[in-house]
Amino acid sequence: MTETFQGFRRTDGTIGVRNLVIVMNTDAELAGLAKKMADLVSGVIPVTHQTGKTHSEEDREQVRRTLKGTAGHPNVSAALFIGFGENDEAASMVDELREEGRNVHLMTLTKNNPVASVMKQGKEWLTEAVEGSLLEKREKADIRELMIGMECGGSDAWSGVTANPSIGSFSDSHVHRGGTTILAETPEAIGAEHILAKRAVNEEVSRAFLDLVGNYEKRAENIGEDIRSANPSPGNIKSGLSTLEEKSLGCIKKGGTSPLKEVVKYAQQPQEQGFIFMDTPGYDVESVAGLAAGGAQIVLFSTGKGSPTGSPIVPVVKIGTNPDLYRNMPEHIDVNAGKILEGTYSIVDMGEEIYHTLIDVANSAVTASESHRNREFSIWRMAETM
Amino acid sequence: MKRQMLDMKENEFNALILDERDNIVVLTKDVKEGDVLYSSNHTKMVEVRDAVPKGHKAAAVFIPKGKSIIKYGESSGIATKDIEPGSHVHTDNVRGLSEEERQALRLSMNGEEYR
Repeated sequence: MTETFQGFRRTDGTIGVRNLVIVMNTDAELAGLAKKMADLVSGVIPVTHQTGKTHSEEDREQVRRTLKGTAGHPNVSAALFIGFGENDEAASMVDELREEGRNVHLMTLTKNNPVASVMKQGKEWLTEAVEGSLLEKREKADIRELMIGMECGGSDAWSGVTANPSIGSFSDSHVHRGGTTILAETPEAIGAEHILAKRAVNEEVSRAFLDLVGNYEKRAENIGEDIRSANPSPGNIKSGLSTLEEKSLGCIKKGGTSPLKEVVKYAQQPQEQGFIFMDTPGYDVESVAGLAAGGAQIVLFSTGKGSPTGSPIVPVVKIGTNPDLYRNMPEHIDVNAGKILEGTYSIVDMGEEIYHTLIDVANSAVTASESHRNREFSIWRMAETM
Repeated sequence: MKRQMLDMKENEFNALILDERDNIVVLTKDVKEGDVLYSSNHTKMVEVRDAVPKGHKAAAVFIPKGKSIIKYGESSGIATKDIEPGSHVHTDNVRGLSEEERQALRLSMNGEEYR
């Protein structure tokens, strides 16, 4: 198997699999402006969101971490922030990213710098950024430098039988070589948390993981949701799942069997290499945005229903769980793990196919979600808006 | 009783083994009483005792009452009855783990206490 791929080396040493120029809003009210700005220059991708400043302290930090991780992502060549007022919080974020050698810029809308002028300056900056990005060339990189996010959305009865174990087989193989994989979606682990906790490299990581699951459950209880007794759902039972732990085992199977090295917050960059867990919600768009902001260059996404979910900054590779899905929606699927049910592929074979697809994608092969320009982006918030 | 054996071709199977340690298989086709389970490594396994829909589980071996249902090499529930090989394994004969049982599994790591 190829041990290298061709990527874009950034001045901070990280390696990207894409070379994007993006424009982002710092606050929800600027989303429309950011989109218009992106339309002015060909090739610029808008990354807009509906979050802002009027959140709890924890959420403000989470939004900032996500925006900074997105703008400073290795797949991003240049990022322009559109801010508002004299003291936009993005200023410190831009300073920090510049210190890391990233090409980022903040343009703020003020009474002395009205919309027309911001648009004009933005267009100039983005035009130059796109021209600069075209001069950047791919260079050889080690596959161990790839950090891969693992996610599911629109699961079906076969998710835990075909696609998830195949992703798990890939994950074990990548971790074994020295690469990093990040499993996400905290609520999906409820019921099987003791199994992941047992795989933790030490007591600290084990406890951090259990705390994160416990906190998620508490927040869910506060809004009247009892995840533990609501699962498996009547639909799950009809499709053959008998217990909560069986359902959750099927979800966490994406994480293979490697030791759990580190637990990170939503959108936080891991310090360790190996198998990592990130605290994200089950909502796939927010979860993918968190994985990307945490530094994952590519996200593997298992789906039984053909979820179109993509990302503005990372390729999302769709692993279909069953042969019917692949027949009916081939345009949304990159890898057909349903072949396992046809008896032609084992789980290990499928893991290898995922690995090969991933290297192709790292080398610039376009994923189904990229070809459809599916660029969903949303930031997870924990509390009420003030 | 009339035996209805599946006419399986060389490379066909109706039962997937997810982990070698498992005591259950996942059916990739609907099966009925008297059919034979063919695993994904193309070996004949046991005769089916109940009709089992695809996606559901059947016991690959005898699972005594009180023992774990092993799927993915992990305990995914406890047998509430003795389960004969080839039987449908589902909510009628399986329950989830209690909090104490989950704790015990968690604490079993390398014999170290995790609490």
